[in-house]
Amino acid sequence: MRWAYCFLALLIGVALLSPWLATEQPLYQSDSVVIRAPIPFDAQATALAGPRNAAPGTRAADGRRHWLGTDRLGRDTAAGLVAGTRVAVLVGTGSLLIVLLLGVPLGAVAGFFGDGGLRVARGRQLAIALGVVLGSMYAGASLWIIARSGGEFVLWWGCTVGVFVAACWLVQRVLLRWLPALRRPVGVPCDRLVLLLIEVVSSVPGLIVLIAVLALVRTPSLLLIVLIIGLIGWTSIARFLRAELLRIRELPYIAAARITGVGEWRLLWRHALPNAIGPLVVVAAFFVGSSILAEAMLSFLGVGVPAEQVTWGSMLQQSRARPQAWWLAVFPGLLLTLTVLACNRLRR
Amino acid sequence: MLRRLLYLPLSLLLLSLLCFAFMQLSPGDPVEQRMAMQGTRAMSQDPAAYFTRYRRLATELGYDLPPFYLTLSNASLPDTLHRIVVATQRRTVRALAVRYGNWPATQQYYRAVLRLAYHLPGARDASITAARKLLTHSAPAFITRELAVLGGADGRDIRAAFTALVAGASPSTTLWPRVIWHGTANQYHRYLMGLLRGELGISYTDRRPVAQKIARALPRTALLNGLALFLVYLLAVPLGMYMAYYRDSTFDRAATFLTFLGFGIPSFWVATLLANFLTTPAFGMDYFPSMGYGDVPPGAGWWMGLRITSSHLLLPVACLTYPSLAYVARHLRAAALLQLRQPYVNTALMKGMTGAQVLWRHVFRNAAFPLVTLLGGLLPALLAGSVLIEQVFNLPGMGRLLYTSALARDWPVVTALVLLNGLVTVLGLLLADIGYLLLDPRLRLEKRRQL
Repeated sequence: MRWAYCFLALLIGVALLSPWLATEQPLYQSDSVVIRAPIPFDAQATALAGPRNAAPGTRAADGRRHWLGTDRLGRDTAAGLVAGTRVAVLVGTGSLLIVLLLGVPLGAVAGFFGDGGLRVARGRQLAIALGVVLGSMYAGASLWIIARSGGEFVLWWGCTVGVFVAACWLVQRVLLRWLPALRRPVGVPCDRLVLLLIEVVSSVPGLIVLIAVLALVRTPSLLLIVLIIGLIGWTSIARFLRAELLRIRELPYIAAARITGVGEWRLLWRHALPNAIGPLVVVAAFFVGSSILAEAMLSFLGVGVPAEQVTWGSMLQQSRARPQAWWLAVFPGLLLTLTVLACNRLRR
Repeated sequence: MLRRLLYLPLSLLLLSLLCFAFMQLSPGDPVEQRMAMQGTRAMSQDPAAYFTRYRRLATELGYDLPPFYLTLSNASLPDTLHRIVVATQRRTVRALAVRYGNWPATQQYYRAVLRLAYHLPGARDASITAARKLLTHSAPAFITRELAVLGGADGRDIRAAFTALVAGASPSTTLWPRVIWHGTANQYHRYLMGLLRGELGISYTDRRPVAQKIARALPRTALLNGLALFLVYLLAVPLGMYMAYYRDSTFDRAATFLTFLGFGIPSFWVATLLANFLTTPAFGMDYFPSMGYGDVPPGAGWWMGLRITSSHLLLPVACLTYPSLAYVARHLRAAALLQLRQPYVNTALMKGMTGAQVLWRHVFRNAAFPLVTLLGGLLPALLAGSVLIEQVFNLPGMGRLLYTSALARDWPVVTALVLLNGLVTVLGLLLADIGYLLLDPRLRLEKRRQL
């Protein structure tokens, strides 16, 4: 248990310190003293003249030592491992962020309010739904073409949706006089909507779609991988949190707080949700492990990761071309395995 | 259960939309690909004839239809824009129409340019080249520069049309939204109907029908994954049950640790190690053949055939099996431990049943239900895993087909495989639900009570 925390902390430390851990530039240089980085090589620096496919411990021409050997292009394996660690930490934290942003609100609202917990007047529900749909349609029809960038479009989309919701709101205020049924509060079907979304997203075959989408884009980037992993992976977090809050909302302390007059939203965010965070960390850690694994698989296949980026997966791929270079197969795989095991270990 | 049945067509429909969007977004021109297949000469030989033939083929293949049932559009764009079949020209016309907000004038301009580019007899070569450039550029500065090149009688129409276009500009038309309904005569409808009839399209790379390519790859992947699935359940059931039965013994602790490792160690790394060490002569341990499923010679006996096939399949099947094996065994252990604490176990023991009898007749039956649910998730996971395993061991199957066609940008094959995998995923989930309902009598009873 403790080794898992230590190992993950070590990984994050290596990722943060990677600019100083593995670099060709001396860390400190004066007339008399030259202090080199522990791994005096750049991960992406090819050295076709230097030792290629060198076994661990080989010295370069200028006396620097390749502690873990080099690959076909003379790139240092240890420096590659450091660069790969950075990529793995980036992918893990990035996709975790997206997953939490999507999964926590959706799962929490679905679990806590269920289908009848959030009661809003019928007319207002209609106004909001209609406003969002019509506003999005208008933005798609007219503003999408004029917008010069994605950010600008999002801004305009937000404004249009706001204007349309406000307009629908005013219309329903007027209609209330003739249609008193609009006044009656009914439960928002949060749970049903979120469950539908979860079902649809989880019927997408993850890795397959990832490969297809990434083959589609012309300029591969890590950010895109992070984004897609996050967009596909949030369902597990949402499903878990929904189940947790279904349980928590029945606990007596929630009822007690409700009686003392705490509002529903405050009840959710300040009282119910903190109670679910402990087990959520466990699920989140498991997700981080599997997203790092997915990134390694993709770079092993060479799909979607920039060609010059050195990652654990790309090193494994190199070892396939040259089986004699066992150091290319063993070290990155070992790091990957330890990372995944550490993330799974937090699970229990 | 019923809900799942409702989700099934919905999910598949959305998946087909996703795949259709892939096809639309993918770089590369399907009509050009098809023309290259048919051996039509490239554009440089006779552009006018090429253009005519391109248009004819595009119409034949239905690319002149609107993409979807309805188009969200605005007043500056006509409802017939999709009839311009060449994508680059369509983009140009669209950009012009949006910038100047005056469709009739834009249309006049486009027609004038098109006439000069392909159909005007006696035009100068320089003018024709300029007109063809105009067909694919919409920046105003570029257009004015080329119009200057056009000089003389050839360009009179175009210049007049462009002047009219600029003079009659009303960019605010873009702000008026418009929804156009096209009915069933659209590309997506055609695609969907084709899918329902089982037409998956034609591969870009070797002109073979996609269905034929998949039919060749499918049995091999099915063999690989079927063997793996069979082994998973064959080994995981006794392992998980005995782990629970002898809980906290040395055996249980060792097995728990091993399954923890097995679930965590990435199988593609193990596959890489095995392939590197055992199928190549690099370390003198070249024990296994390095690629393919092995060809059994026609006259060979069953023993010979079995030996060849198993030597090819042993490593990949082992790599596919062990993570799922560990996963299922751990789940079964947890479920069985829960059952072993139930009072009925003590009752059965007191009645004189042996431990093994209680374990297999009572505990197993109650603990086995999660196995059915796991099956639903296992199937897609195995298929995804076999992409990497097939790649490492050079096995021509569905995973390798997906990988090679994704790299070759062979979209018809890629989208067909995505759809097929989605279908398997959804069906797996559905089967798990149905199986659960069929196997567990308690659930059926509850259903009846609710009704």
